[in-house]
Amino acid sequence: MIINLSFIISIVSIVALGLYRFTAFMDYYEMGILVLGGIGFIWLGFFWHTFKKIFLSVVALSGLSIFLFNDDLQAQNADFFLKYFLSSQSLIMWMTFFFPLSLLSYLTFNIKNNQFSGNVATNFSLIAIVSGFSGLMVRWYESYLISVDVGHIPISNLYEVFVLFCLITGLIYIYYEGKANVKSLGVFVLLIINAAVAFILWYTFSKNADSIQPLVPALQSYWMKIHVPSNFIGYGAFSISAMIALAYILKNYGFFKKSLPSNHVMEDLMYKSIAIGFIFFTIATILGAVWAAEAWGGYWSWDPKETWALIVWLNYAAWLHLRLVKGLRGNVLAWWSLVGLIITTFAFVGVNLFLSGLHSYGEL
Amino acid sequence: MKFAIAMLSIVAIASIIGTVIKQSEPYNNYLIQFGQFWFHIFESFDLYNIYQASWFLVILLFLVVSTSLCVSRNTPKILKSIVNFQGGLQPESLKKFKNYHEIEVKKSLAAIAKKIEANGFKIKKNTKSDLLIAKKGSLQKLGYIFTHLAIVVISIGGLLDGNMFFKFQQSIGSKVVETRNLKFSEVPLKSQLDKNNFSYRATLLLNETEQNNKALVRIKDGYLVQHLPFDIKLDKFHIEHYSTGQPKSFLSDLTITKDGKKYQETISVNKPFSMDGITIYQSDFQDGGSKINLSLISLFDQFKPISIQSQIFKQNEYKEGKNDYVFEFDDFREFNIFQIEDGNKLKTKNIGPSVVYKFRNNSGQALEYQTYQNPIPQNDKFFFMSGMRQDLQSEFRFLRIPADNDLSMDGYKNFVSNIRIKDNINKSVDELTKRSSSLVNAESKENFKNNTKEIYQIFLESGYSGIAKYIEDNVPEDQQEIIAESYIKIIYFISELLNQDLMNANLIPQDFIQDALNAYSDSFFYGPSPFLMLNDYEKIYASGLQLTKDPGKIWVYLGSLFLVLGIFCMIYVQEIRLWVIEKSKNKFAIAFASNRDHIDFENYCIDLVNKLKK
Ligand code: HEM
Repeated sequence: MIINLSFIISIVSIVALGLYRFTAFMDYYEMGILVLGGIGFIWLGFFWHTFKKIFLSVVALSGLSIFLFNDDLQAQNADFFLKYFLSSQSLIMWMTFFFPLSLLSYLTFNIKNNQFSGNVATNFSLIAIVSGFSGLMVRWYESYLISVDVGHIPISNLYEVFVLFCLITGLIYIYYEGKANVKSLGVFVLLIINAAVAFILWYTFSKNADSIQPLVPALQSYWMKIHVPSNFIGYGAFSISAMIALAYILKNYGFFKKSLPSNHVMEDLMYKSIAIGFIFFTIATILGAVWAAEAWGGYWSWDPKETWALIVWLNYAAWLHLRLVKGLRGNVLAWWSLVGLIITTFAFVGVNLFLSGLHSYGEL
Repeated sequence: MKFAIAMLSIVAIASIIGTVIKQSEPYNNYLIQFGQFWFHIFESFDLYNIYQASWFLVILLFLVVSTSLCVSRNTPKILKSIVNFQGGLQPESLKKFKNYHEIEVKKSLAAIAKKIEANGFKIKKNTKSDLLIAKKGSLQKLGYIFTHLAIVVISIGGLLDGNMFFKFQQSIGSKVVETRNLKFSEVPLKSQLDKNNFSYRATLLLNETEQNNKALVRIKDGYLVQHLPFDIKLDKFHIEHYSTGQPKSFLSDLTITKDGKKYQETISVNKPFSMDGITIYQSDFQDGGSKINLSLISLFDQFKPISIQSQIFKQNEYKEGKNDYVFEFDDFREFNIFQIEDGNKLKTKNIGPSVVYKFRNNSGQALEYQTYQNPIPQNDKFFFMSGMRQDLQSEFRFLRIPADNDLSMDGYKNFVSNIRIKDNINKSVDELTKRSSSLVNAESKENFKNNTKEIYQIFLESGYSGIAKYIEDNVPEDQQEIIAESYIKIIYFISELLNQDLMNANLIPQDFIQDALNAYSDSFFYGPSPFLMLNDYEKIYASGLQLTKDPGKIWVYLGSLFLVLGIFCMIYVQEIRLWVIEKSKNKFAIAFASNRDHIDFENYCIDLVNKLKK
């Protein structure tokens, strides 16, 4: 009850604060996104209880951090708590600390079938998710402290979207874990999250990628605020289905036979995550086209990133056809969704690495 | 369906090829990249413009047709099944259903029907038997129609905005692509497109204060001229910057004249302007003929600068001795943003203007140069930088001339004249000889003097590379390294003595002599161009606009909306049918069926049965 109340109050007051105090920073579209986002979050909270707790924790942590900053960017070097815990960099580092721990605990759970380490694993993941999201929130705030015109939502370069990827993938998985009681899949999903964590660490320490940069003109649009998150819900969901597929295939080769859920459950989850991913990916691609029409002068330019999005989309449309139309199940679909991950990964990072195009942000 | 999948696979593969081979480059680049043989093979498949290739369009058309057929074939069936209930089941056959339940409640069949209705089901009325038939989720089937029709609509919208009509005109010979480099006014009528053209994506490059009513449509390695229904004039182009120097916004102030009426608009990236179905975008910018005022400084002579006035895209003649050269000024950049190391952090900084030019001799060969106006910081020191390269493929190699303490080039200018004054050189060599304690008799002193003068002279005439060559020719291999080291020391020592005045007057920073010697030596590789000092300039921009007319866009968007709705219906609406039969008083048999079997479905059935029990 208290949670419900504080959840709603905090969302309403955040939206109200945004509309009232930061009117000057937003156009009408952005206000619309804010209001709809608030409504969406409230819906999500009542659809899935854990989300409320995650949301409230993020609000509390980032609120505390912003309070400690007190509008002075230098505070992150001076204040002990900011320096080691609550600046965006530290929060994201804590995320990269807890995801590997969570992976280890899930592994212990699978090998020893020890319920306790299973619970620990879930909680570690939750901690990682909360610190990661708080990190992004604080980073958003910090960007405005650098200079008001530099300020922007932190989903604008490869570093930031990799963090987003870890968080969204984690979030979707935690939801399924609670709903379908499939803790033994955690180790597989955490595998891909930790691959992204490894990339973040490498990118941070060898390329200084964690510094906040101002937005290039092409990215200055409210479209970014909806296009990028929906894309990453897609990527995250596709990755989860691929990792479940991996578990499925391993199980059929005789590994983890005892601990993994039944084939039927895994097939079902694979389908569900591809379905949710497909919807969001479709929306993201369409929004991308609408944005491109506004920024580049054409809704479809066959830019490499666009083209690869189409290929990813066709791939999962084919997957859905096979399951829904042909009624196919089993190994073929599992392998297909695993290969789908390769295609998705290429569309996500490979295009930036190997091909040049209009999506020029995030080169390595 | 198989056919559609095969076509889709081809589209996917073709698309991948199109991302691997960079599209719509100048054909010459492909020729260099692939060689004669493959270039022509690839060209014949239109691989350089794959998404405009006829075969690609034909496949897309096939897809549209096949999907339309699929929709038209299935739609009547689906509509029928939405309207109809499946009846006609024998009570016995219910048992065969996977989701079959029997319950006992004190209720009538009618009461149960009410309850089922309350859960969103539609009940089939006026059945004669005591079989109750119900269903929900018809939207799922509608979803099929939505998605597949959406794909047809999107494709048609896309084809409308493609250049199919032009392709048709081209195939009957009424239009041709122009590949020559012509002025707009000289382009033949067959390569011009009417201002009422149905759809296009054209580009227009305008210099500041220039006005035009024609734009360019690029096709393969050529172009067409597109007439516009209005005149566009670029009043001014500006760039806004962040405090760090990175560009924040690119804006063009335009005046559009139509039927004598003037409209003033400012467009920028992400903020286009639409008029008469044509949308004008900020897509590019470049130099539009900036005016520059330069001093030319010969790197070896006594630094008597020649001053010249020029403009980007202009040429200036230049005579040096018997040689005739031409400066071709290609680009002027007012801002150059670089990541510069500051302490051990990277900082983004604007290092100021630069000029790019070619320096061509009378036999037509050219070297390309890029010269920065301001001295550029490197490890706490400042250098005037100018890069040279032989061809466009290679990287610039930079000449780095150290700046003096006033950040001017005077220090280096004095340095270069100091190191050439004959009398002083002799004095310095004497001084050096005096200081060398190892030289005992007069003869060895004389030898040392001559040798030193020779070495120094070689350096003056050809830099370190001359010294290296001299050592290679005259010194046994095992001593080369030691000798080289001592020669370098000697040259340094003499130069230092020659520049005492600069050092005493504290005009030059630490290490200046060493850096200046390096610069002097590198000058021999710099090529024939004099060093170019940019004195002042007037920046003139050209703005690249894109003009898009895309009447198909609205259909694409509408189709997209339907696509999302359709997918949502198809995936998240579950079609469920159920049958209830009263087996005996208060005893009911219930069977569920769905065209998808999910785990959720079983749970749903159990849930509903439990509700009915209450
Ligand atoms: C947007 C994603 C898509 C989804 C979710 C989807 C889903 C489906 C479903 C559920 C059916 C079976 C309809 C039924 O009989 O109840 C179907 C059939 C079919 N779909 Fe799709 N589809 C999609 C995209 C496409 C695309 C892109 C094409 C090709 C252009 C296509 C071509 C077909 C064909 C040819 C059939 C079979 C019609 C027949 O002959 O019975 N679909 N699709």
